[in-house]
Amino acid sequence: MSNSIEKESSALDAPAEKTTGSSQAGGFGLLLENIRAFPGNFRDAVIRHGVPDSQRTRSQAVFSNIFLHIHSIRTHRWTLKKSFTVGLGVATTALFLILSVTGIMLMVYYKPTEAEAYNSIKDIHYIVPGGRLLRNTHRWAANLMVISALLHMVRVFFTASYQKPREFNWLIGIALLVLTLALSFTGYCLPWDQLAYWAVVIGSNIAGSAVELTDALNVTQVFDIGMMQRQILLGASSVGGEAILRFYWIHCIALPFAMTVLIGMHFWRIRKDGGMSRPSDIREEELAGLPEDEVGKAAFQGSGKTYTLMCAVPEKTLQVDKDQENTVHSWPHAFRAEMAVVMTVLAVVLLLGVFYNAPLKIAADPAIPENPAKAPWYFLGLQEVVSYSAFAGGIGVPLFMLVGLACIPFLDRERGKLGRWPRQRDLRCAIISLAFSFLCIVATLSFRVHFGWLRDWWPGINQLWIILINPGTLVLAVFTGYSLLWTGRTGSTRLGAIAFFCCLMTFFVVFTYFGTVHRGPNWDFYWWPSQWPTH
Amino acid sequence: MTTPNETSPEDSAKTTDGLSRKDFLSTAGVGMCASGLALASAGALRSAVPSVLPDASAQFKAGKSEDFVPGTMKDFTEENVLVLCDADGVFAISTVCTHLGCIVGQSDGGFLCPCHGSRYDADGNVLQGPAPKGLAWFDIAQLPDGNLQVDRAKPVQVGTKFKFTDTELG
Repeated sequence: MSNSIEKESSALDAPAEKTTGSSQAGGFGLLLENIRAFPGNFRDAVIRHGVPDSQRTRSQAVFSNIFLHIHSIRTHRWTLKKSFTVGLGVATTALFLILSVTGIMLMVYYKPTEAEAYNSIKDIHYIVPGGRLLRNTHRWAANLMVISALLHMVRVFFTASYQKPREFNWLIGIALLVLTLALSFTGYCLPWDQLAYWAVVIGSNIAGSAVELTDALNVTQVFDIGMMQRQILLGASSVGGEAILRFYWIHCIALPFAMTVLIGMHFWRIRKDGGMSRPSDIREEELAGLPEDEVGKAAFQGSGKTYTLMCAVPEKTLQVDKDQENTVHSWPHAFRAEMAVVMTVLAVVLLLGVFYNAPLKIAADPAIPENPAKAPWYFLGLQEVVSYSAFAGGIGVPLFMLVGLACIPFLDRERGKLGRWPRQRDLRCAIISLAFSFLCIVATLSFRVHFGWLRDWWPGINQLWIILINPGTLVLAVFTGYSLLWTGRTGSTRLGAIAFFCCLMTFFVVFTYFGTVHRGPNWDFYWWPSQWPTH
Repeated sequence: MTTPNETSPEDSAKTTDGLSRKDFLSTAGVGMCASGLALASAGALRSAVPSVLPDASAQFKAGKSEDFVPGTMKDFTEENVLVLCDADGVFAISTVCTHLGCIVGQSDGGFLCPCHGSRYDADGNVLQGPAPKGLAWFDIAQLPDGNLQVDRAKPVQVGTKFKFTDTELG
């Protein structure tokens, strides 16, 4: 009796079980039979479909699995083009997963106190079995995640995948980039070595650098927002044990939580905004070499056969509905591609972890700063601007860049370039903009190194002038005007957006390179780190 | 609730200024929820900064007055203060760079910050670099036990020096 009920409820879509008509043996016989059928029934209870080899079961493999069903049942073949996505979104997600796992494991040994933090890192390195690899992997994955998130943004921008209806997902993406950088920075601080300590000192003073502005405006006495932000970050007025605990909490609880929620939203919106972007005029030969799905294709070309599960896709997803015959089953094609990216990322990170140790300087010494005290490489571009003005480099310039990026999908409402890398006119604009911005920045930085800046010419100058006019803000102002000129001259907002984005890319790359290679002790200019004076 | 002869609750409940009772109540409800959540969050966020910060005392003893003769220089590395003495008296200069808080070193008769190259003269006035203002000077007072006390919470004008009275010098 109970057997038949269970069969009905569990084997929802499973192939019908063989009926074994042996109830003669009484109660124990039934039990024995259930025990024998245990493995099969258990499998049916967990996975409610057969081997994914038919259209139906492949759909169910995706649809009935909580983890896989973030995917649609069918994936457009364009999405599987390696040259289109370059797998960067998946790679970034994979890195986040690796970071979560290694991070949680590191938490077992790490002690967030002033006295023990540094030594616990040493313990992880020398005493914990596999600890060195764990920390190295965590460190290199963090670095790679910054790179892959940035490159992912570059891909999304150049394939115009931020345009309507994907504006909001672009904004979530920018928030995720900020979270990635914040996670990197707070993590950089936890080992409490010289690098970490002085990074917190500089970082917290950047948070407090609004005081530069309020001082220049003479309102610090009544409205000291800089000090407020600093105290919230440090839990004290100077860097110490409270700061470690706060950075630890931010790094391990607050930011990962926000990140997880936003990643969920990011994925959700990809589905809701019509799947991954692709051109509306795909030619068959462009899809050559991509996996095909003969069974599925026949189904769509057949006599009006409908694919019932696809009805779950919202009506707005025009592209999805349009060329159904160019889709393939997500199982196995999309998952195979994703797994390839995940395993590649894991291999790269593990290899880096085995062969290169994460840096660890001597223990923090509040009396003697590192010279030069450099932030992680991806902040060195900003640190160069910080060396002109703390407020401009720490708050003004990054805020301008983020707001500028966030505005792009709302200022460029052109349609039709979706899903393709720039060609012809767009590509020309990109190359010219990259060259222009490169020359601009090199000229400005050379000028700065040779002739100094406002404070060197007029030592008594009001700080407000330096906040407003410094090499960083100057080139950004030029770039903004330059991008507007593109739109004005060509009548295309997309070209203006390309010009602006290319300028920001050059800004990030050249300033980062300059801060990394050409700045030495006392933030003086050197052609090469080997020329630094020994001290 | 609504009787069949009523056309709609909105029409029947119009107030004089045209806002229906239903709209008023729902707007008020949303407003209450929003302000309630905002106040609760603000109250929770207030805990981010304690009423008493866990900092070391701003005051420290710099030594007895007889320790200071013109030319004396004492470097208090834990407090990041340099206490100096010249013919005009004793004075305390902060060694924390006003740019981003690195510790300045002495160089060429002035101060130089290793982090971003800010340069100061011997009195801590900015000569060069990104520092927005000069190094802070702190108040010095003599305690009853003869010790000089530097108070980092009390910045003073550049050039303010503590002078001993004649009896103490003698």
